Amino acid sequence: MKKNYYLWLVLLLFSVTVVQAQEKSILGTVSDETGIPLNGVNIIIKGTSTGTQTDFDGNYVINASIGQTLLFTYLGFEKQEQLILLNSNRINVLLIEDVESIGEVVITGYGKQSKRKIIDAISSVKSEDIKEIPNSNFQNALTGKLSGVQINQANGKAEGKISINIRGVASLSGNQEPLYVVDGVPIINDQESGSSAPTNPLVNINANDIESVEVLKDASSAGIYGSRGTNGVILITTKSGKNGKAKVTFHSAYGFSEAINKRKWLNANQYVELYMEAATNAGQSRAQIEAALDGLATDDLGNISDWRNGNIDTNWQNEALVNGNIQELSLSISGGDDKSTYFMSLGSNNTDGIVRGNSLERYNFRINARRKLSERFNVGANISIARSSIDRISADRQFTTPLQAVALVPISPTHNEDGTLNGNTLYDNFLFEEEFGFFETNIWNLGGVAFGEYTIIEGLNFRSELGYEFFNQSEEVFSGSEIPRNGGLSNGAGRTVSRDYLTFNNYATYNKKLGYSHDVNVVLGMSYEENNRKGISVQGDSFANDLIQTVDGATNITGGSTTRVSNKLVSYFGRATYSFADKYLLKASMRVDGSSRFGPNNRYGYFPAFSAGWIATNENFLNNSKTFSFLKVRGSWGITGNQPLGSFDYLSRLGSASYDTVSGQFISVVGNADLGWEETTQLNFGLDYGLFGNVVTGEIDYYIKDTKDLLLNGRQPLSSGIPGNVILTNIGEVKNSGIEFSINTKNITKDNFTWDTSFNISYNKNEIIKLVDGDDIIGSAGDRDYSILREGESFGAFYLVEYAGVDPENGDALYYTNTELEDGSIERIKTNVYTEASRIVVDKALPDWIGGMTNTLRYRDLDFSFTFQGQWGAQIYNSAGLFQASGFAGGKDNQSIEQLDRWQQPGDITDVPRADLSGDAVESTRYLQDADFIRLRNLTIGYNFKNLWNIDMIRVYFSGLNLLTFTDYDGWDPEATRDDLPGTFARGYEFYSAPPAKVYTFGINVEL
Amino acid sequence: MKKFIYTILYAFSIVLLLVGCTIDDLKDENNLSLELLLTDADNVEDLLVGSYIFAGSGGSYGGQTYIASELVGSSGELIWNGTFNDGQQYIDKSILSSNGMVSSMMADNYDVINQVNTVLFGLDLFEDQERRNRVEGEAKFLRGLEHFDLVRFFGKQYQSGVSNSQLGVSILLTSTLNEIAENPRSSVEEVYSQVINDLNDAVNLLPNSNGVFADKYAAKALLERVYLQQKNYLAARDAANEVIQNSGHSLASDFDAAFNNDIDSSEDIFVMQVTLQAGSNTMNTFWATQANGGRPGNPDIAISDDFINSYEANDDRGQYFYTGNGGNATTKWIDRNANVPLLRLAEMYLIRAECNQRLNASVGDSPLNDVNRIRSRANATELNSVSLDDILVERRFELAFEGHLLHDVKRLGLTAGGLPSDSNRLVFPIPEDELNTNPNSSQNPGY
Repeated sequence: MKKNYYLWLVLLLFSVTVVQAQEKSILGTVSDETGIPLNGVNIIIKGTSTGTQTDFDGNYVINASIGQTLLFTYLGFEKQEQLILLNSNRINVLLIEDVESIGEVVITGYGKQSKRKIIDAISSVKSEDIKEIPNSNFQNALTGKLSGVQINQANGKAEGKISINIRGVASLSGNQEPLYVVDGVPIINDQESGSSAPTNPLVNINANDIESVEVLKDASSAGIYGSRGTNGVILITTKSGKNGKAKVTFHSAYGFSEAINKRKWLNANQYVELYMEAATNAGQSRAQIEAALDGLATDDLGNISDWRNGNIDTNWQNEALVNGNIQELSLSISGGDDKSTYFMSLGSNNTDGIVRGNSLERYNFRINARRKLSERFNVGANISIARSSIDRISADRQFTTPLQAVALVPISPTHNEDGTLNGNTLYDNFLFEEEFGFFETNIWNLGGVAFGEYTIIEGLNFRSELGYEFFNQSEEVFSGSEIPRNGGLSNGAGRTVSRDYLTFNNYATYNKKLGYSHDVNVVLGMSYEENNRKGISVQGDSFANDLIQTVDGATNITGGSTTRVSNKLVSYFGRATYSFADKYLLKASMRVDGSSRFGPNNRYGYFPAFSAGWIATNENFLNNSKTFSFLKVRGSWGITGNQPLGSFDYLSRLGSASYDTVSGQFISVVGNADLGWEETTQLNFGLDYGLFGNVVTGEIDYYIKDTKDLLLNGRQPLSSGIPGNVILTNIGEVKNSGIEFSINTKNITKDNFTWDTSFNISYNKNEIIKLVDGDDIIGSAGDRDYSILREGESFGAFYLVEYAGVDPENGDALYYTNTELEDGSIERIKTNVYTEASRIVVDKALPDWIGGMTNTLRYRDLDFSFTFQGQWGAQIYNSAGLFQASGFAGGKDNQSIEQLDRWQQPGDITDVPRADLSGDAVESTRYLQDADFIRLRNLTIGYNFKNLWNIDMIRVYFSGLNLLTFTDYDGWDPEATRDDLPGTFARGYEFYSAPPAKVYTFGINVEL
Repeated sequence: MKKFIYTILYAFSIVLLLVGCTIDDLKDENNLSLELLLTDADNVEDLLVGSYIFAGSGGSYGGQTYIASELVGSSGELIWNGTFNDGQQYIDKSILSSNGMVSSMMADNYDVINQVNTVLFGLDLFEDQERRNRVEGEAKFLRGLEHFDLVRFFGKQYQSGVSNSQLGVSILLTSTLNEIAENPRSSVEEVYSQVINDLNDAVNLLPNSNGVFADKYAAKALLERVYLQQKNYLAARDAANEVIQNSGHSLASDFDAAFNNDIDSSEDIFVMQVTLQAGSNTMNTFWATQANGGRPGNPDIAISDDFINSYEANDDRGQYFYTGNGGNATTKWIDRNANVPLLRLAEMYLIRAECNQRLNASVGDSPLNDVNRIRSRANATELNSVSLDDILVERRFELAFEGHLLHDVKRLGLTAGGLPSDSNRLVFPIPEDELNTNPNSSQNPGY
């Protein structure tokens, strides 16, 4: 046997030497470390342009000659070379993942870059990080995962607005939200709620469609978006198909939800006891007190409940906060070949909120398709259609909002003895609104982008993108005649808002590697955007019959209007990136924006940015360091802008109205022709590190953001007769500075068991540097706004009288006078006369520290991950405190349980004043509290069944949202804040605001 | 190569196309700009109509101006059931400078003045003299009206015979077209002078009747109110007399007919118009029960049984009440869509009677006849003789809850809630919203 073999070898050698460079067929399979075959691996014969690719099963076949080398390359894997030897017939290759290129590509504005070479401050999450979080608003899934990004859902309504602040707050009355860009095209983020409670305009985005989210935080990353980059930019990239067999994913989840927390209120007996005490202390006679209690306990039919014996003890809070649920379904199909790829998805979300009467039903459809028409020409289109139908409830400051039911009295029944609703309650009984009215909002989003990309010559691409979004919201409201506050007069309204958003981007990208060391990338382009908004509304009352609830059935039309508004943006941008030897990195960009929102004197703005970086570990002295596997130092500087919210803020405008039947015009706004954008100059220093072979990786950033020309509704004297007493002017300066720190560790990496941790923490300090004439700007007390803008203080500072506790002698509430004396010092004595106390600046609504930590553990096919989130340093003011906790001094409202600790006799030491109807119902720091918290934000346990019944994967999981909260705040929740007051500088107020929901979900994913 | 050229051309054409797009062509389609408006007399007249809209707003003559006077002047006959504290501060006469009702009253009143000043700025656009006069007269009527009520609330009572140098309010004679005013407070004397000048001009310029808008007799009627407040009884009496005799108005057939009207009654000299689509009847919001459009206090402002019982048994005015579970409500403000009267003839008769009585005269008619005219209209028994006190009591009975109380208290030297008429607490504080923004303003004593 051996002899034959040798004979063959000799013959082969001869044939080789005789027939030099004789070709043979080489075949093989390429797979990854775990043995899974890799499709689409490029195989080239080195030194030639002959090549091929592996097929779906990882197999390839290529004709090559002995002595040639095959080069195997595949994105995300280290390349391999295989020399073809005499006896090589079958060459199987195992490719190893390129540790350094995981997460390799980061999407930037108008392009993408390798993560190693990024010299901006960009945080990102992938779809893995945000899946399986049961909530109707996708932004909730980002909480705790991005350093420097503060995300707060205003309250527990399913459609409630989410506010996101990146690196502090840099605008006082302009836009404070980041710019959202989906697949290269900005999307509408203007909330259009017809009530004072804002809705989340992004409620229609399906989280399951998202591949990655990149947050551009500093000037050199966000600067490419010029006059809209100040608050940061959130780039959302949706999923696309991949070359390969069709992948079908089905997902279903069902969750139970309830309010995170319920407060404790007085029950019937406690109410009667405390009320009697308060009334007696005010000098009322027994007869008066009993008459008042009788009045409160009487229902519509005149029956008086037996309050002496607590026979009616209504828990109004439980009427308002109910158990809810969430059902999510989604189906996606993706796949492609080497010329086309596609991704298609269908989804639905059905949420019953935790506040009675609030629910949301959403349906999504998306298709993303790409086609390579030729070697040089690529086209594609992403189209999405989504619709939500939302049952809404009143805004926080309306009397009919369900949470205000906690003010109602426990001795008052919800229903009369005959079963009808009791309308004789202290304030509105919201159950009437629920039974005899409705408030429904339907939101349609149709949007997409179509693009074409043409390779002119090698390295030079031209890309044209046309994006279009159509947003339509129609709201209908009806309030029936049986609702007591309507006085027998039903009323209804209909409102529709339609918006169009057209974006046309055209840009050329040039990539060239000069020699071995010089890498150049240049982008040059322009963008045109046009935004149109049309509104229609009508109101009517005196409906002929409460069963006909459309305005068609109204006898009187009491109002109606149509409105139209447009604005345009024309921009030019350019960016150049240069790297030398992969070590020294430089970048410069410029954007010119011309916006129709600016006054004629200030139409065009210029926004430059520069950044530089150094990859130290590519230097010889660190190349083989055992400690530092990656070290990059970077810095950036640039200017970004922020546009005014209104389209015509610079004009003095009149409104039309009629007096009797004669039409007239009235001055509605006094304008300002010099109106310009707010400008931020941002400096950023950062360090990216990887230690011990990238077992520990992370980033540290330090930034300073100086913002000037802040747009503010400068308050004007009442005696100047300016309507609204405000004029919008560029007046102020604010500074945000801070640090962001993130660290990712691979604690345990074994075959069967891995444990990774990600931790991020950020600190932001906000300071108001300059206001016009150095004067304070104080919130309007009429709006229950006790905020102040004062030089040297933080944005969101409160301006309140300081509470000094209770006088142990008589139970009076005490205040610190805080009088400013002539020599400038502050005299601080306690007084029980409220008018003797001066307001002082105290605390603030913005947090100092925000952070999050995520742990992911995997044992074979079982995984367990959980994320904690925390905020420290912010305070919340309860604007309803003087109704809920003043010992009945503010009215007969039910009081919180803490009022039972009131002062009762001389010598009592307590923080709660004497219960007294004639006591103080005033605003003071008594109702201001720390809102620090740590929350177990989400927790997921899942098990993957692989290759069961021929199905690639079946995953079952449990996921929880907001499961645990640790806080000293005794309101409903440190994240529940008032949802009115948008656009002013008031922040951090609570007014019967619904807490977020705690959700327990069970789900199943099937991948075929 | 061809493809390359085509691509470059395509790229350039797009760029060219878009350079041609301008952003300057957009205009506000929902609102006119002010500059555009002041190029045409018709537009200036539109602005004048707009001034009435402001004057009828909630903080002004839609209601707050009257509510403030009634609540602060009360002595226990009014109860506040409202959820927010502002009204209670009024009743207790412990008004904070943060009081929202005070702030909106000042703001709304000055909004009217600014608007009419803008109208006056555009007077030269009128070519027709008669039209110009009418517009000027209406503007000055409104300006006089607003400054008058501002000084009555925020300044101390006018004392006749002395130069009233005590602080009044800022006089606004400019429009925001030209400047943003930061005026210091003028003295009470100066404000009254301005008011009287404006109203005299109005009397001279306005026609005898002018539809629902201000006419000569409205200006005259207002002027007599001003004179009365100044205790200039002679001038007040003469003005009242002229209105009674020449204006063509007459008392409504019965008491009820004088109120809750959609169309002006014969008695109405000037009212703020309210319709289904326009205008706000803020008096209804606070004085009516919830079933009639009021706030949950049911009503927010309730009237004591004692006050109601003080009427004579057969007096219609004593029956003009109904109840909600918050207490008694006045029927004067029961209709949410009705007009809000500002000047009515009954007040003229009472002024004439009081002034004649004080002057020991009977110009126009005797005080006794005037009082009986009012009484018999309300089915109260006629009197045989009247003293000054009788007339003042009649004034209280007839004009209750219409916004006269505090001003009468101060003028007549009466007490309110136990406080003397010259108490600092009966003068409103300058709102902190004004003090915080106007460096030239200053606070009233006691605040």
